[in-house]
Amino acid sequence: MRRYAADGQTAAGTNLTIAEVVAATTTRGRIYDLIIGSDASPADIATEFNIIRGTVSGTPTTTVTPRALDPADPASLLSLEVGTFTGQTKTSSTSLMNIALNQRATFRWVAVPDGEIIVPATSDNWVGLESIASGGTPNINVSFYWQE
Amino acid sequence: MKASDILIIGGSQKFEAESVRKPSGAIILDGMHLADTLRCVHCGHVWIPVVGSGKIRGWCNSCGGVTCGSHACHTCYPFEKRLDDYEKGKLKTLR
Repeated sequence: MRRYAADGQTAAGTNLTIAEVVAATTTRGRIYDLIIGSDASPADIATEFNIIRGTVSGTPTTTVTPRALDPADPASLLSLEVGTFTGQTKTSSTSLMNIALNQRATFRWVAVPDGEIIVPATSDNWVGLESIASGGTPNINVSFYWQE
Repeated sequence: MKASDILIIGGSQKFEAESVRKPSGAIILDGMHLADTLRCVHCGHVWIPVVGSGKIRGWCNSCGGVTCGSHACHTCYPFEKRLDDYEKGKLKTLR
């Protein structure tokens, strides 16, 4: 298993995707580490997040090139997309994880082996962090770590 | 009571998170391990087990693991099988 990391940032809002890990057709992605925080000025703003699936990744503001944790590994097959999305399709009622978080806190979820969130090897599918509701629009920083 | 027995996220929510023998993951807040997470063996949903939440979860004897308790997960349909079927186009939606 090769391991990769990528991160991005987007302002929170209502039903806005912060970032999404986009599938490759040749391998599954296994998200084993997720870190959510904010680099905005500290404030008591509550935001609710969901980890959701989707079937069309749409057009993002930015596509991030993932970094291999082992420099000897080849480039990642999956990618991370960040920003404001257009033409995206989300799979309804598929919250894989629900997180309610104060902006001042830094949240991390780590999976044990075989406890990962899996991105299927299906074209244009994705798993992403969605801001469901927020008391403001702070910048949300997210880091995804996954295995391929 | 251990620090891991209480989960406070941002001060707005307070509930007793349960430590489990075989977690699927862990929640770390500001560098401190606060709770374990479980993953449904049928749909892959991840949740924090909370004492007294009132939510009814399940157990699949075939898979040997916990289920999220949703009606769709009462029937044994292992997540790996679900993934295989989805990738082959036999399943339209992956929950």
